[in-house]
Amino acid sequence: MTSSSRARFLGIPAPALTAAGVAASMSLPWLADAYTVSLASYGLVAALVAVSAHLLTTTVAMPTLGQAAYFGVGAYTAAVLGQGVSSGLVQLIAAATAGAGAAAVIGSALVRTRGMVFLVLTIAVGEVARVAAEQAVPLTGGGNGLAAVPVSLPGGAELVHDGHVYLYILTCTLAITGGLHVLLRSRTGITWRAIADHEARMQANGFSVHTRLWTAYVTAGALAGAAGALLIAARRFVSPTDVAFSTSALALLAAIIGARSVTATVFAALLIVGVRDVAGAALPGTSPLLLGLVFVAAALARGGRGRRLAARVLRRPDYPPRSHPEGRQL
Amino acid sequence: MWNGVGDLIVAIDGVAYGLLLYTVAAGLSLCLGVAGVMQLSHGTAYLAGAYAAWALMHGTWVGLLTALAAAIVGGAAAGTGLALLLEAVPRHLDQALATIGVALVGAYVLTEVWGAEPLSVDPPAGLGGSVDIAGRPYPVYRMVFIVIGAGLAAGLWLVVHRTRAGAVMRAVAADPAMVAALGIPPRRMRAAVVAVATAAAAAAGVLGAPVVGPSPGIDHTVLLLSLVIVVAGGAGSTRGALVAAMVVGQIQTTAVAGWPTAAPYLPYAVLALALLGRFGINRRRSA
Amino acid sequence: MKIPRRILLAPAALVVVLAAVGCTGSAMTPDASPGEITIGFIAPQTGPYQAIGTDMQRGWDLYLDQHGGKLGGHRVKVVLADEGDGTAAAQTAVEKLLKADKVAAIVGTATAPAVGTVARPATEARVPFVGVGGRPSTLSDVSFVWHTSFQSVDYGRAAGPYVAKSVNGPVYVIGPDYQGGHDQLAGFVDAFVAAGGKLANPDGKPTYTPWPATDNFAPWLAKVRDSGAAAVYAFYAGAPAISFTKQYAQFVGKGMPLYAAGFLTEGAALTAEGSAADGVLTAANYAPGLNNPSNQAFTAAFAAKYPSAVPNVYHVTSYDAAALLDRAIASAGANPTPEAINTAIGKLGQLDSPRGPWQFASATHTPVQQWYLREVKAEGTSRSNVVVAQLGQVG
Repeated sequence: MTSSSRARFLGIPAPALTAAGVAASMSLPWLADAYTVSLASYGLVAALVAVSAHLLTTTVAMPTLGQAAYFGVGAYTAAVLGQGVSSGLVQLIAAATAGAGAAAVIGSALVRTRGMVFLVLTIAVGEVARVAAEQAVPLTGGGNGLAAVPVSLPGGAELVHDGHVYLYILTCTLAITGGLHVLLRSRTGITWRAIADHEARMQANGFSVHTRLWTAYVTAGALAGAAGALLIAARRFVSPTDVAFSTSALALLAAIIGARSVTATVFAALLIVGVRDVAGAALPGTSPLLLGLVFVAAALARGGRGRRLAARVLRRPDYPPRSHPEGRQL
Repeated sequence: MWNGVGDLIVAIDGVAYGLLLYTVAAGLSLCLGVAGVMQLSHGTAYLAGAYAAWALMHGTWVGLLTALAAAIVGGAAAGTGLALLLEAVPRHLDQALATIGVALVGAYVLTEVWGAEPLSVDPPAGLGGSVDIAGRPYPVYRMVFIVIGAGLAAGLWLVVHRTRAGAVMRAVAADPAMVAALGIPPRRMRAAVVAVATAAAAAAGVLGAPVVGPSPGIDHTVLLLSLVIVVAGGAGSTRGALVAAMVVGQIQTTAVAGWPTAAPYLPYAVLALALLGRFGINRRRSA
Repeated sequence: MKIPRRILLAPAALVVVLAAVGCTGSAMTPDASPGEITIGFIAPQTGPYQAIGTDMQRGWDLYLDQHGGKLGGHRVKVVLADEGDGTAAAQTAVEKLLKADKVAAIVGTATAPAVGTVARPATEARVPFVGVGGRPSTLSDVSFVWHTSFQSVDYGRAAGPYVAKSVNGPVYVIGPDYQGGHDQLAGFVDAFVAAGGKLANPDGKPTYTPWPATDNFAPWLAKVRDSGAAAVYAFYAGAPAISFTKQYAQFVGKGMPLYAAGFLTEGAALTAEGSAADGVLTAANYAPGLNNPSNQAFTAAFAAKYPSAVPNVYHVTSYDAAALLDRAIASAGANPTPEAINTAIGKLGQLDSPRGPWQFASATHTPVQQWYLREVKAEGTSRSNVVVAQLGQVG
């Protein structure tokens, strides 16, 4: 793994690119119209959900189709909390904690499965969350959804202007993905990747694989929960359709297109939201078709490439430990 | 809260419903467990079959047979095509992506062709009415469906347990490398399983159309319930799928009426319980 | 070829992506040519409610066609936006209409949950929102929200007293377990009980079937049959309406009359239900056979433009939304601002409509209108909802 200080892109050192990128994205509200800015805000929220899917799908090689559940837990937590506490930071922390808490309970069972079974179980978790959002009317407002008040900054300023909301969400997203960047390079992150690569060996070396995977699952839950709080900041509204299967599917798609890079995952999510909302609006009714083609194209494009990831992921047996790890894999 | 005949009717209906789910889920179970392909567009085959029934059946027996033939041939062709696509994306993760994409495109095309209105399919002549069970009306077609579903289940069991093809399938599920070493090409076997499973789901769509008719969104519902059944029953196990389908069938009828607020969660509760149960077994086996 | 992780680079590409997005966005922004007014139209173009979306669009298009594409003397540019399967897509749609297209008014929404989603940002932007689908009871601020359709509770309020009077015995009340279902059945039960009716449901409360868990109503219909009810009142819409009606005919039969909110036998559902719908009695604010000059003109024009379709309530509410905006824009001055249009809507008074004249209730901004009891009657292979009784003014 190349360390970030030596990373270069087209010969330009990463720190310079980073600075330029941050400056450029910070200036967006002064360059684009309100709709583009609000779309970008939503794109960043979707990107953070995708990053949580990335942590599971790529880092620990456990692909998931259920991150919408923790996204929903976070969003409803922030919206309900917002009725009394408008502080964006408090909502963000509470939503991340709630997402982590839900993931801690569910993950304790889920991390004992692998591959296809894990994937199907995450679909089930997402579905249960959506139904719960639909049914718990007193708490969630049911199908009508839950409206929230504008979030406020520590100084007390309310975020209503699209540009301000965008800058708030951008700052939070940068801080969170930056934190993840550090985490992935820490001992914890290295252990996660090692488990993805050589689960049996790590187990034999005395690592508690279940506990490590559970930690990754809880972290991903916290990330998705935080994304939920940002959804409330961006749209001041959450409803069961936000918790739908499509949210999880788009997050997985972005995570897979993004492959090993968190940055690429963020771009992929922004691109997918762009395809869905912009192209879908230009050609009304065609967004499922366009998204479907993107899904197939992404799978085909990866069919011939991404071998290293393949090699890593292919070593995952359905149930550990199995006698023939080349058997059913994911 | 046994309520006599009323509950009996509901229980019978649960059997009909469970068998309908089984005809879809059995194929998916073979895809996942035997062919080892991740298939998330299986519900689309059911929906396409249901539309075929609407377009061709018109309440006649000839129409029913035409629709069935069309569904089986079309399903096998589509399944073969899907298998080719899935050969190009060998990893399960990519297969999940590709089949989600196929499901989205498929649903879009079906809606473009047949419109978004929910449609209703009448059973063939003579099966449209109701029979009396102890003074209560019960639809004839559902009664017949129980017979058809039971026949399908029995047929599938015979194929899997009493034929050479079935023996190969079971062998693949147990040890694919060994089967490959015996000279049986896994690629062709996978294509055959996906083709047969897709044809079966499309045929289930034709037969099930008078009970669960074609309308946008049915594909997702059918897929979700099938996945629950397959994973609860154990991927690759047609017997497990049958048991799980019967349980889910009863849940969707008997249990929902008695406990409506919990109903949407119950299939997933079954899934969780089944997995917990099987974990114990797996642990002991692998130890 | 290693891909270095440059997480903090996200912003750079973000700008590239958004620049592209921004270009497309601005290309769709109207050129504000003089005298032109932009109206946003939100309807389901994908997902389970697409059929309703098509109906809404047809009613709207019919009025614009009849009036040379002008409302209130201004050329109209209509921006379509997808409502998808409800709130999340509606949110995206309303953001775009308000912020990119800068619409003067928003028309649409088939699903009741989407009403709140659209109403809040529209009210904040002070842009009138003319709804054509169900109005949930949960909306609090209606200063910029107008519905040409109905409140979800109106159906039951209209039907309750009639059913109490004409059914000799208790009535079983059943519907789906979501906000719209609760509103619909609560409206019925309140009016029905107030008029002396008695529920046949065992606990004296309406029965709610799980949503969206099942399309199989056999278990409930078995209970309905055993309840000793003299009749049933139901609310179902869309695909479940078809399943319910067909299974009602199979499991309960014609011995127990089925009363319902109009959706049960409306549009595509009626066609799909076939003979199972015969004799079903529904409350509605419109029936295609209504005998008034507006409706005769409307149905004739409708048949000319859409020969294979039968007009239904969504055609009419969208048609009326266009008619309403036509008058409001005309009286909102030479340069009608969204606020001026909103004020003008409030001053319109009585509106002529294919369903008969109606006007907005000042508190709710929903129609006070005549309601009808309709019975499904077969004429050859086709079926229609024929008015059999007047249910009085409700709203």
